[in-house]
Amino acid sequence: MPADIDGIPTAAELPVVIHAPYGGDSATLRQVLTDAGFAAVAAGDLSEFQALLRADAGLLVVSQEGLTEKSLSLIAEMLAQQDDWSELPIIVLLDQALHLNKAAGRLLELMPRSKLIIKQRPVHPAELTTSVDTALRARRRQYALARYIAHQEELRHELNHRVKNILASVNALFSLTRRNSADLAEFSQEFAGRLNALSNVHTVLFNVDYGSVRLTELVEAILRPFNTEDVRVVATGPDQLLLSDPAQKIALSLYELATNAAKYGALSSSEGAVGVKWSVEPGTGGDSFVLEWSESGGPSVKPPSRTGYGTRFIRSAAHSLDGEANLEFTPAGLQVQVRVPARSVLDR
Amino acid sequence: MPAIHSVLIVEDNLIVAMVIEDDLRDAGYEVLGPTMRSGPSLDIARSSTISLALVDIDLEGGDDGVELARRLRDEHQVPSLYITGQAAVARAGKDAALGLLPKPFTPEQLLEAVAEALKYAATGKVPQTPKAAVWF
Repeated sequence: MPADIDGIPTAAELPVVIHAPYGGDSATLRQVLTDAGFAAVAAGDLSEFQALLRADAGLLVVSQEGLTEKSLSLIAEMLAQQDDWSELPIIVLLDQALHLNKAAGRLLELMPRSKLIIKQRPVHPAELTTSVDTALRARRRQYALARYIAHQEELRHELNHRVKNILASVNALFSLTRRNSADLAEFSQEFAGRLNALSNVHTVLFNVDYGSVRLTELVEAILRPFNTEDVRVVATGPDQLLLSDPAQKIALSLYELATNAAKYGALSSSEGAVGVKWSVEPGTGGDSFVLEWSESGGPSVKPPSRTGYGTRFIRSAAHSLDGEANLEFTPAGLQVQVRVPARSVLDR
Repeated sequence: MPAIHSVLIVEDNLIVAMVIEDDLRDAGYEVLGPTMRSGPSLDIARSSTISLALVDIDLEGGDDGVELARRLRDEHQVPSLYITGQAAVARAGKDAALGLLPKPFTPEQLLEAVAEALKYAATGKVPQTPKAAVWF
């Protein structure tokens, strides 16, 4: 079925199914509606009507002569099969001779979950076309509602998927932090800090609808807690757009470096400082994205006796982006260089 | 002492992959990976003997875990156990794997599921436990 840009058929595209088996009524009605720009189809007899009767029709136009026991049962059966959001509009054309109130009551009983419109014959073409137009607009709103419900359902599934992923991350973060903590106090502090970093990253990504994110914004969100009194972590580099998944890895790597510096490195003494630089370097195999972390002025550092969570995370993150991380514990302070293919991280 | 089983981890959540790696190593398994995409996982399958692959469904770069499990089985005779929060998608790909361990899971649930999956792969007998995993 053709559709407009929203994916919802326009009023003119919704099929109007006509069942008026007396004389040339079907053909006349079809002509009037087609001339007015509607997609009208007329059933020649009951079997054709059965074939045209679909739950996704736009509207039914049925004359008094078409309201036989068999056709009413076909309509009732189709109405019962409608989706919850659907109430098919049905225009019924009745003779003046009929007691209209009585007829309407009876038809409503026979056709529950329909939007019944009763017209008294003879009907002027303009009256018919305006009624059809109004009914089709209402039908279109039903389609819009159906689309909205489907979209909400998709969002619900997506949310469920995201929540499960986040819970899996938190669960894993808990296990890894517990494994690397000496006591409960250390565990509490490190776990809370990592959760907070994860939350900050999600805030930044949520604001861009989990699309590309500006590197400067991400770096600022992660390093802000470490620059509260004075700016000791200075970040410089050309602003770049990062893909969502790599952005998380880079942000959490920076958090691990900053928290390590606050505990053992440059940020643990009042004289220490950290420089964060990034650049895009051209190369024969394509551009590289290079991120450097350089500590100075802090206490003299030496390589740790065992590989902690932070170091492991940074190396795994770089590896997962088809690159590598080099961590060097020099007497002046920790120096880190992460080098990954630009295509793995940048949205260009 | 029983033979050491080697387990390939295919998981694009870095932190989750690290925890699985730790838990399996501590339990005495040889760990291959972790990998986050299909290509490197198949490379490992070509060069190593794998007893079991733990495969996430949504992989890095849009790679499909169900398709990977199918290739691991068809091309390398490697059985897979899905590890995912997307139970419905995993069930739709049930032909390609032994079962499904829904995320999030505890280390104990992971180790129990891996042990049962290895038994299932060896005997063809559908495990009755553990409750955390779903067997196909």
